[in-house]
Amino acid sequence: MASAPPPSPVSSGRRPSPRIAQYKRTWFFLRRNTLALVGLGILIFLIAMALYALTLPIPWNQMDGYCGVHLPGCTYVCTTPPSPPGPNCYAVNQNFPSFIPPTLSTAGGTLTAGQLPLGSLSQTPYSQIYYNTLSGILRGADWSLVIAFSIVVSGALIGLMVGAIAGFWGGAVDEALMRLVDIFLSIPVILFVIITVSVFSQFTIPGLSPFSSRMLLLILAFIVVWWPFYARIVRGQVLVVREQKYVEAARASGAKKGRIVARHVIPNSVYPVFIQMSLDVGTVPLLVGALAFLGFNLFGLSSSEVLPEWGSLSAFSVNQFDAVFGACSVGVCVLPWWQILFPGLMLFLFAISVNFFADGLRDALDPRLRR
Amino acid sequence: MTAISRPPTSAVERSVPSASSASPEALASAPTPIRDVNEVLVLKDLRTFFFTYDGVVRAIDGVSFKIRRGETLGLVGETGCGKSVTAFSITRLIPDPPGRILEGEIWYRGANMLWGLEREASYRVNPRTQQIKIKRRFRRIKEANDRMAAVRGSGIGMIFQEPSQAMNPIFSVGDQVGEALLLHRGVEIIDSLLAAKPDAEGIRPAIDAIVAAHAAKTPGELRATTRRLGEIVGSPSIATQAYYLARGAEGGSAGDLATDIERSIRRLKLSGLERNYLAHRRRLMVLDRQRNREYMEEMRAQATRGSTRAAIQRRRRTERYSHFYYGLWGFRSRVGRALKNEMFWRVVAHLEGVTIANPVQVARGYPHELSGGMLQRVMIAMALCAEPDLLIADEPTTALDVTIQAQILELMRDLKDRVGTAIMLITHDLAIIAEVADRVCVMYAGQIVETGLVRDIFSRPLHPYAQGLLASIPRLDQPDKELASIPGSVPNLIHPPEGCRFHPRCPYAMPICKEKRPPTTVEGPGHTVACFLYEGPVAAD
Repeated sequence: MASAPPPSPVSSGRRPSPRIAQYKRTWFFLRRNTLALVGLGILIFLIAMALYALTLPIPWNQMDGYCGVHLPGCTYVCTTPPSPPGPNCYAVNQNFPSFIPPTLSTAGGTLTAGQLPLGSLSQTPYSQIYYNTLSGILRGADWSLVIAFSIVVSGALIGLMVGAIAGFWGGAVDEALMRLVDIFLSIPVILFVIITVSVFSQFTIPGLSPFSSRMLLLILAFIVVWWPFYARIVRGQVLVVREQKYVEAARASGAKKGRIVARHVIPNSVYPVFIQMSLDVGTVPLLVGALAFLGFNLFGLSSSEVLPEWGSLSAFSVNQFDAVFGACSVGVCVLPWWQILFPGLMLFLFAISVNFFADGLRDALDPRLRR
Repeated sequence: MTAISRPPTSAVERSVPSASSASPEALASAPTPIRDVNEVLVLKDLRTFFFTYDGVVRAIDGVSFKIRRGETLGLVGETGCGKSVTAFSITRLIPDPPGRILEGEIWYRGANMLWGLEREASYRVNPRTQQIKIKRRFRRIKEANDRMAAVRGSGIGMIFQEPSQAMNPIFSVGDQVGEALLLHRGVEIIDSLLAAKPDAEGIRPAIDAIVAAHAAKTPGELRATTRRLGEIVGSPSIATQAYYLARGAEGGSAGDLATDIERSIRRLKLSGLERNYLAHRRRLMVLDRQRNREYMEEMRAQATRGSTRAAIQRRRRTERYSHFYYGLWGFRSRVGRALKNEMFWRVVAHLEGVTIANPVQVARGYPHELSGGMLQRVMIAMALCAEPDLLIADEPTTALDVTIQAQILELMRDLKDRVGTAIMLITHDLAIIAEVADRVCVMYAGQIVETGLVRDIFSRPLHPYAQGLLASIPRLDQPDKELASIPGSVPNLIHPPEGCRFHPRCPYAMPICKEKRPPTTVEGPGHTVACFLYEGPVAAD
């Protein structure tokens, strides 16, 4: 046997690379796309955040830092005067200091934490519920991600099935399904969700807390009005793909309908859906926020609670504007912009990271777009 | 040119298809409508119309021809004369609606594939507006399509004009050819996986022999030693794999090559569970094959006795569920990978068979990475991996440049000699016909105007249309001759001319041409023509 590597007798070039697993190949192409990597990094960060929030000791619906006005070192919240410590006061969770802008540190003086009852918002102009922004954002992570992904993914799956059937079978099936889609498209999204959740909120799913079953109801209500958009996109795409030569060629080589749909039609029609999904993932939390902004108490929250979801947190703070300006009369006049900004920023980060990542993934998966 | 190696399951060894696919008693009891067993396909009086809003397009109006085993039949004519519609009618790929095959017979393997055509739809003519209303019976159409699907690919293969569009852009070439391979040759692939002996005696010396042949730079010896290894292991795909590992093993040491080959042999070791799974899949494929065979038997038997449809439907039901049940298990499993690997190397062997020089790279590539000529070879490999009796090539060289055209034609001729597949070649390029075809059918406006051996048609064209076609191409022996053209253009087939459809453009038109459709007459051995200028005996069919 030759010890030195001999040149191959008939070799036409380099050694054929071994067959690479699909996920390795996808990662190889994804790695080159900086934006996609950034998106992936942010997404992983957000998911880690959501997982961490699950481990926090306090239940989701208790805000851990109710101070009337954010004062540095605010450690107690009391429901009635006098000042702490007293039986009507409880300690503020100090695990997560809120984002208090430095300007506020001089705002104190006339108001103390002890003067702030935690009753309804409208009772006194001095009272103000400020949730602890950092912990609110942390708490908001898990529900925001769950709501956004579950609605978009299941909506897309339903839409994909309906659209593919309608587009490929055509004729009466197409007509029937597309009219059904039209009916669903005519339903106003927010109105439908409000009505559904209000009407069915009495029923709790056994094994789930009332809050969780209402959350599930919200998600289901959103899915019902969300899939028709995908069905339309997919149908349009399938109408193009089914006329392609390769579908005809597959038929000519003996493939049956099911195989053609599964192997040729659907894989070639999913990419636009992919993009639409990545856009919708950012839209859904905003719509949930719109529900909170409109002020419908769909979740039976007490007035000191806020739905731990980024859109809702943001909207909640916007709703506090008049109360805040009411407080101006006693000398503290601060717009709590950080409470609107940071949840909104998280939403923005989430939407943009999903967008970047989905775009990069599409480029990596679609062989036509690889360079 | 590289030597053409045979694909692992060579078509040369296969038995006569009609005998292998039908049980003897079915053949005995059924009447034998085929007069000549060498006739692969007999078309009789085929009529395909398109019912459009503008009116009824009489795209095919009474086409009859035969294709014999191993023969190449050229179908020529101008654009829009119904060549492609004929091909699509044969495989029942006419978009329906608007198109419908109205009547005719397509005899294939002793069965009329258009059996029960008259019950698929009913036609009613509105006496006032003369519009035709069709009532389709979709259940019957679906049944007929299912019967035809059993023949497509395995019996009648097809290759298309633009190969780059005839392949799915998002799967690799190997995946797609492998899909076709699994569809038509699945049982054999699983059999060879189950029969492989990765622990056989003498594997080590065989690998050493490969390494030695590789070191000695002798390609022939390398081929022989890898083939020997394949025989020892009992898997032809291992031979291909070892051959290409050796061919590519330039940078590595000889030890690497041996390890690589050993690794690929080790992959063939399957556990009992995996073997069970493969056996299940094989059973399903056998059921599939059996069902297709039953379809054919049903078709043959239908003329004489009742249908066996109930039995077939029962079987299909069980089959559908088991597909689902066992399909989940194999998804992304180790055995699924073994199957995929086996398929990949078989694809490589098939690509080698269509003279692709670097089949491994091509199989890993995607359609958009390959040139048109390369893709057309891949398409041919895909069509031929099912070993069809008839290959319909619908303008296979139109989208290719001339040098590639020559290679593809050479390949098709070579495959015809080697595999014995009959070819129906559709083209408007007379040069290609002269090069490849044995017999020619000249089509005009949905009818066949002249049929004959290629040399008869070229040396003595009878029909004025055929004469016009031949006069319009340059000839080497008459360089100074001005090229003639046929005046006018192909008529609108919604309102075709009465009588002979060519008469408005015919230089010899007579009064009778406007009134009657000319009969097909025999003007020589195998030479028939439909024209009033000739008065030979009327052809039998």
